[in-house]
Amino acid sequence: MSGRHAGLSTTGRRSFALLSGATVLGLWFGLRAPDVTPVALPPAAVQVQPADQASVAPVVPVTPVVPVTPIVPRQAGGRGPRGGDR
Amino acid sequence: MTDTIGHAAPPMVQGPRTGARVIDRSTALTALWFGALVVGTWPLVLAAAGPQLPLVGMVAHVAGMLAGYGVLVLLVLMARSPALERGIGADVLARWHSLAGRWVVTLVLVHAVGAIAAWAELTGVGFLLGSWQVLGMPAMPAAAAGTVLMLIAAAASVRAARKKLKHETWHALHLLMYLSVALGFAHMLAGPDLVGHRVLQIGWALAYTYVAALLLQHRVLTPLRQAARHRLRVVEVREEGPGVVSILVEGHHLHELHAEPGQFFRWRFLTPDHWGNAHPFSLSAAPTATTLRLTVKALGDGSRNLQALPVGTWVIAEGPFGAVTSARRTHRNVLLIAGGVGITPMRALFEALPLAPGEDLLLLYRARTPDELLFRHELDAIAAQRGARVGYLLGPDREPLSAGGLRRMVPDIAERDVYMCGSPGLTDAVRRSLREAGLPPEQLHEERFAF
Repeated sequence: MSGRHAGLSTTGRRSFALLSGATVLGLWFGLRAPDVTPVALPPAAVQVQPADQASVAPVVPVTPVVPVTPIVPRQAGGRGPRGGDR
Repeated sequence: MTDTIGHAAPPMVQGPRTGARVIDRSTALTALWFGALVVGTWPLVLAAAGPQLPLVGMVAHVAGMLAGYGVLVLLVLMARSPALERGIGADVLARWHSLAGRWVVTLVLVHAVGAIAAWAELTGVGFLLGSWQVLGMPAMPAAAAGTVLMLIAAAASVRAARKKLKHETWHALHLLMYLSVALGFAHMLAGPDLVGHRVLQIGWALAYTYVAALLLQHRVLTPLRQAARHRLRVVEVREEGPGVVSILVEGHHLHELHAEPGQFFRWRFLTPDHWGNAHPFSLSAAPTATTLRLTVKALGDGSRNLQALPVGTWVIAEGPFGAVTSARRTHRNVLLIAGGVGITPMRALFEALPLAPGEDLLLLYRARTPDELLFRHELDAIAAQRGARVGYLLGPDREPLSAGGLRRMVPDIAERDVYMCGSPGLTDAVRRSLREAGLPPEQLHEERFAF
């Protein structure tokens, strides 16, 4: 191997090491960066009207409330309820 | 003064580094503007998709992202990467760095003021209280300290201030920029435009660590490796004229540097006065396998002290840099124009520029008095040996370098390559003359320095 080739391979190894180091460091910084910004601007202030009894209207559900049938637990070794069994 | 040309060792016959990657000016500018467009648009995309921000907040976001990107650009421009130095030229890189530096400082200030104003507006507090609250946020004290350091470095670089400062002082203050960037790094990664986008945070961090690696390689490791490999020492300091000395440096394996006439090195002389600063000086003779020669005129404190440099001083030479070499040549006939100490790279080109039979090489060298002419014996000897021509333009009158004067002396001037080096005043005037004389701009090769 000539001196020039030896020099090139040494240079290549050095560059590879430097690039690897920079990649590891960059990944480390990037992964350790915060998930929530500490400098976020606060949400724009929204003016809220004071609650007033007269202004509160009762909420009427649009659809009738149907009582939920409790789920029967599966019996050990047996079969669970099926639609046709009710 | 000696009559010999060059030195004992023969000039290097090895050509420029072949296969070396080079980034030209248009490629670099395209990449630079494309990057700025992407980075500057990102906060607008986020704002369109997220909660509405006041206008001043939007301006702060865009300015902040562009400032962070601009810092990267500043560092890359000064990384002394051979691909950029060869393709664009150190003088152009320095001018871009200076221009980009002004933009970055402005963007940082707009970002800071805009962010505080937006905070104050949305929280309903005054600007001063808003500043205090923003400064109390995580990573903000460091970023604020970094901004202050950046402003100090920028103030030291303002022309009026720089004229009053010693080069060494200015250099030390300018190095504060690195600390400034390090202090602001955590704030960048925690900024609202990157947080929530892990890939972007990683990408931003990688961009910074890669640029840091580039700086480390070309500004620290390569010079140290070259110092160990070439073991350069001063072997002669020779007076060339009033306040001008040539410094002959000897070393090992210098052919591996692939240095060419017309290029320069950044020389760091390892004496108590000079080790902290690398001075850029052109080669004033064609490099050989064992020697390099530079010529220095006493212009400031640093170059004045070099006049008394002890023989035997160890030297670290960073380089070679500079793109004004024979590789730029496109025509058979060549005109070299030198003014004052600008003769140094022109002398090296005059000595080594390839000259085939039938080709003409003419050097026009302007000085006010015969005493100011450097290398006169060497130039005459080179001209006689190579069949080249040299003309000395003496006196205060610049008429010979007017368009008419140049046309009279060099009738085929528009058909030549012209290489030029001199003081900014002279080169500005000659550049105009050459344009008037019909020289296409792409045939003028020069690097402009004002150290």
